[in-house]
Amino acid sequence: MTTDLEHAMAMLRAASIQPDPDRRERVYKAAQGARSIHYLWPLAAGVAACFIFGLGVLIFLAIGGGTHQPLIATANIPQAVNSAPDAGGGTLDNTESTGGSTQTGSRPKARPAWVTKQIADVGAPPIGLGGGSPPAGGGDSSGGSGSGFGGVTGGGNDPLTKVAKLAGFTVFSPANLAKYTLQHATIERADKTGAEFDILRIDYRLKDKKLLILQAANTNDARNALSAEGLDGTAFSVVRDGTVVLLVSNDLTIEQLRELELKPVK
Amino acid sequence: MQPVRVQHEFEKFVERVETRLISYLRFSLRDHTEAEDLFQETLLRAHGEWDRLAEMDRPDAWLFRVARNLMINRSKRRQTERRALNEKVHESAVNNASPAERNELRRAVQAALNDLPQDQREAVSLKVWGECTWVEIGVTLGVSEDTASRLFSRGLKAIAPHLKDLKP
Repeated sequence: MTTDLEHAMAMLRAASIQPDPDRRERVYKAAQGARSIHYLWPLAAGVAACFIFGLGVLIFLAIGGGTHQPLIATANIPQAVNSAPDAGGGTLDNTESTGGSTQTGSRPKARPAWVTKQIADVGAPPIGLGGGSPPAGGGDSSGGSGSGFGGVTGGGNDPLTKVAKLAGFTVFSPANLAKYTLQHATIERADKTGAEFDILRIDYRLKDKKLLILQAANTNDARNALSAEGLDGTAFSVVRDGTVVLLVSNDLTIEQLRELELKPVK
Repeated sequence: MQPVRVQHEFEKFVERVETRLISYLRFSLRDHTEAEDLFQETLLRAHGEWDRLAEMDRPDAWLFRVARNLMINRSKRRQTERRALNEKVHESAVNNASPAERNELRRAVQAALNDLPQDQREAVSLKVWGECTWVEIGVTLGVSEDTASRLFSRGLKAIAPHLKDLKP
């Protein structure tokens, strides 16, 4: 038996498969290919990552991401002008929401006819006073209160305070308006003005000198309507604390209008 | 790129294990083509792990373990097909052998091994062609050293009568 086992072992060993150079060569080639992939895959991965990133950027831009919001139409922004049409275009004072650009690129809504008329009336010859009679005490120019004023909505000794409560925005009055007296302070509703917003009208008078102040809550339409641009006569417009304020005078200069200290009416 | 020295070491390793590995695979699988495939695949694995393999005391034992695992995996995948075509595969392996290998000895050895149970056949193959120790055979087959020795002995005794009349 042992001999048989030894013989079997010998036969098994003799049956070994012989070496084959082609077989080894196939292994080396396969190993070389695997090696190339091993060292090139980081490069391929990097290229693929860059491609995917670029594709993502293109898709992002295509769907509108990253674009800037259009600038707000600055033609709607009230701006200071003087009587010469081309001389205007100063920056706004104390505006909250704008930087005071003076460009006129966008199409503002047309100024309501009512506003145009009020403004025109300021420049008209002083045929007669609109509204109430001057106070018995004469020219109190504080602008904040007065006695015996007529034509003031709601009556009372402090018409501005009353209308300020009715207005939906901060109401301003000129604190350093010398000698002028308050004539009117009324809130004109949209059905009267043709605008889509309420307009506060305040009239100050000193004999034949008029100061008209129109105020409204700051919106695009309000800024359009109460813009000083293109107006005949001396006009100055400003946005302050969410309120558009247009000052028109047949006497004061632009600088004087600008220097008026507008104080909120409490 | 891999240093030339490392490549040279791998090639030397392949030359050293080639005969043993292909013989083990050929007689264990009973399929010439499949044995060649697994031969390549096993050595590719070794190439991929060469850094670790080069540090081992007995990289050959690792190699035969990998070869066996690959063999088992492939066998599992084709188990059903192999049952149905067992006879035909065997004939095909013999008939498709290269002219250089078509000799009576190998045919007889293959036929004798085919009759052995899988574990005995593997034990014989690992011992004869893999030149593995009993410990390594036990680890590869998942059995103890004594069991590995017993499997080989039984397998060898079973095929010895079939090889009795053969001459190398």
